[in-house]
Amino acid sequence: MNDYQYDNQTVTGFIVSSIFWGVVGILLGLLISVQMWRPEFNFQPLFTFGRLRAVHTNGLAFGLGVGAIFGLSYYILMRLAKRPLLFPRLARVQLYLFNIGITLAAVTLLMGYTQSLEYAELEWPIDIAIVVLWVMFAVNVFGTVIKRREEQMYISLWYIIATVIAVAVLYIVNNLSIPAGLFKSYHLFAGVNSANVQWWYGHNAVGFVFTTPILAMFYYFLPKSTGIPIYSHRLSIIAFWSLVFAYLWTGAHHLVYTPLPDWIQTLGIVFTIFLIAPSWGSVVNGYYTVGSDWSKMNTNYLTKFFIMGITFYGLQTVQGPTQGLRIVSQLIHYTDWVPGHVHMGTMGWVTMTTAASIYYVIPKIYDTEIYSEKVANIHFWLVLIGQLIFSVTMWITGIQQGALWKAVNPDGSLKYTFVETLIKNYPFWQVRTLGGIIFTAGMLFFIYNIYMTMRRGKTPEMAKA
Amino acid sequence: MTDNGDNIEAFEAKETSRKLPVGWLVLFWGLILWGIYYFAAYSPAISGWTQEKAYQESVNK
Amino acid sequence: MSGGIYSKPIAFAITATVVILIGTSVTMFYPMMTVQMHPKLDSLKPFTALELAGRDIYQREGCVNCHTQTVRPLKTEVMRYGEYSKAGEFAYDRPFLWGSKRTGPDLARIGAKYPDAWHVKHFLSPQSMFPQSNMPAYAFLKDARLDPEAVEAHMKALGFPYSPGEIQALKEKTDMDALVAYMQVIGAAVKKTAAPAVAAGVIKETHIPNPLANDQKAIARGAELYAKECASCHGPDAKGDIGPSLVDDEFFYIKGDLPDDDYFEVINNGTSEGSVEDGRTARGGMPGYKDSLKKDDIWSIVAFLRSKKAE
Repeated sequence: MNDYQYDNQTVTGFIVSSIFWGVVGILLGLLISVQMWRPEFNFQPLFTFGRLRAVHTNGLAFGLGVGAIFGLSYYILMRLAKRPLLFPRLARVQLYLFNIGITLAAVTLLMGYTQSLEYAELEWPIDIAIVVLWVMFAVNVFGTVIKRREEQMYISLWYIIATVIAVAVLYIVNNLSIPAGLFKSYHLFAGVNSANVQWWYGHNAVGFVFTTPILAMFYYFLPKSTGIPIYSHRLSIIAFWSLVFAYLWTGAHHLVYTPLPDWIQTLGIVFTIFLIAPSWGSVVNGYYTVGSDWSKMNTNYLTKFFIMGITFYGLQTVQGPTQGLRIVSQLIHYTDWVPGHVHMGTMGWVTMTTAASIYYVIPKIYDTEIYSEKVANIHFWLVLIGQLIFSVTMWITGIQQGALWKAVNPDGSLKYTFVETLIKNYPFWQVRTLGGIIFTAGMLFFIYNIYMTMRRGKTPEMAKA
Repeated sequence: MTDNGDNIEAFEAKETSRKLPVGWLVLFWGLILWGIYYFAAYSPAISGWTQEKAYQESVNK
Repeated sequence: MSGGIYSKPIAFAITATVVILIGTSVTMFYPMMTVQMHPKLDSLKPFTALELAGRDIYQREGCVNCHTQTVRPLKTEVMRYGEYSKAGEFAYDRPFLWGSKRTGPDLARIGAKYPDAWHVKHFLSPQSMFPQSNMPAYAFLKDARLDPEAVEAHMKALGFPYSPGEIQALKEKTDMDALVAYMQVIGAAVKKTAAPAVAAGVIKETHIPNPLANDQKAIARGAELYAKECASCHGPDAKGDIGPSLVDDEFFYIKGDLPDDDYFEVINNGTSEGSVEDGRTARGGMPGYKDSLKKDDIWSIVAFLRSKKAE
């Protein structure tokens, strides 16, 4: 079974790379969180908030997120297809190119080369490299699935296939641009149209990077680690199709009350609210699965990661749609509420589920047990507390900001100048940094645990079938 | 390595076509009905609502 | 369960693609093919070379991460920032820079609100004007020279008209000049709704005196507000800096006092170029405080400045 060993090394490579980029992204996150309340922590010109924010978001979405997605998708794929990857060397080249790509991305963003499109900041030469990477991924996914040795495709494979297709369409269309130099281009689309294309992309990047591949992990690793089958296959089917159908309509909820035509905004809001149903389809499926034996929460340390992860997914997919409503958007759009929302999804749902999947995979590949369940539990509680502090403070200060911006005196004039509304955020931003530190500490326990597990286990080369 | 291939049966309950939870079905259809209402109420071509008109009304109040 | 598309990956992938493309087509591709997504105001002009260079710097420094450029049609938002944004203002914006977060204020109506010198001072050190601001300083922009060749390539890529002289002139310009030029053109296609201080050319027969004149409490309140709102432009002693001195005997370049109610209206409405104040002509650059200060507060500032001048 040498083929598996080679592929397992590639999987491990992606996991280790994604953890590395995760550390970079999280530490930068801490720095920019301090810059929010201490401007002297901006180091001009390279390390200012304006440039670092994109390095933080890209580093985590593409470095930590996509890196883990590549590795864990390949792991799931091989096992559900009952065969090694069809193109093992291609996957290995993909791993190297991935790390080169993320390095170039970080450097160029620091230098100020940016398309100014959220989550699509990277300039056109790097976009081309990313498309090449994605094609490599697609070739291996489809090749391996087509040559599989199991007739049925399990739910996780559906989500992986949908991810491959949707990200390709989204990424290529939104990055169409007019090159004006080696690292300079202008969006092919202008004004209102540019906005509409960007947020069609932007929201679905959330949908097909932070949702569908993570659901693929959830549907695979939850039954694997608990030994309980998924509650309802039928619910999985309906939730899958309604999710991938509805997601693509929703981008306009980022553009409520902008000059975008009213009907597109309304349609975006309608489908955004509808998304609660498919999202909760997976939440209900997860709860009912573990519900057949809740003692797993105590006896299997990974169960609580998955259940907490899907719980944050459930909260996220109620909060997010609510934010789309005009009446709510009026108050919280453009405030710190929104980063609070995003970080519940990324720190609560994505990182929790991904970390648990890695906890499952690494001992399997190294043919050993996890180094310490106790350390995993410390990790669990620290990231949970850190994330809650982060999100809750941002929600409070977000509502406060929105309300202060709207406040008027009895004679009708505005009650607060902009700076007066700004400085009221500072205490909350300080607490947010504290939440970030606690979260980072939790992640360090995670990394330590993974490192020690690898050290203790046999290396993938030594592991025998 | 003992875990290179998975049997899909292990992931899916014997009776995989279970009934959908009633609460979830209510949510699913309820949101669709609400969506039809909201689209009609806030589409210029159907109800005549526009954000500009809403703004003018709020100013004239 | 026997199969269907769940055992046929190609059929599954095609079905998934179709499902994904439905919403994409209705909300994104279809609107793109209609005129409603390509509006343009008649008053909108393409960016000049200097302005585009400034916009590139705005992009490079990631200003969009903290500043929006779209005013929503909501009552208090229009009061705070100005006329709500129109679809036709953005026809030359590639990409749009509406942003998604207001750590700093919206900038859709920043153009022509302040004089250039205000922006330079603010970029050099935001804290010199707003001590509690969290904006990083951008002093390094004044030491960086523009690259005329690169700017020309950008103008060509976008198909904007320019003259060789315009490109030539960029040699003498810094990043700071360009960014300020861009600041001043944002929102230029939409007319300012602010009224001139008084109706143009009208000379008032009678004037209303300051109801709070010589009121010690009002003077103290005025001093406090002056320090917060006015000092960054008119200087801590009101002897002038970016804006003119307020303690000399000249108003709008003409000797002699400005009547109380005209003074009030200048602060209340701000000035724009050419507006006439009882025969006096303004050069613009003073923002109005109608929506951010109460009437009594404005009268208090007038009272304070009168007392300061009398010193």
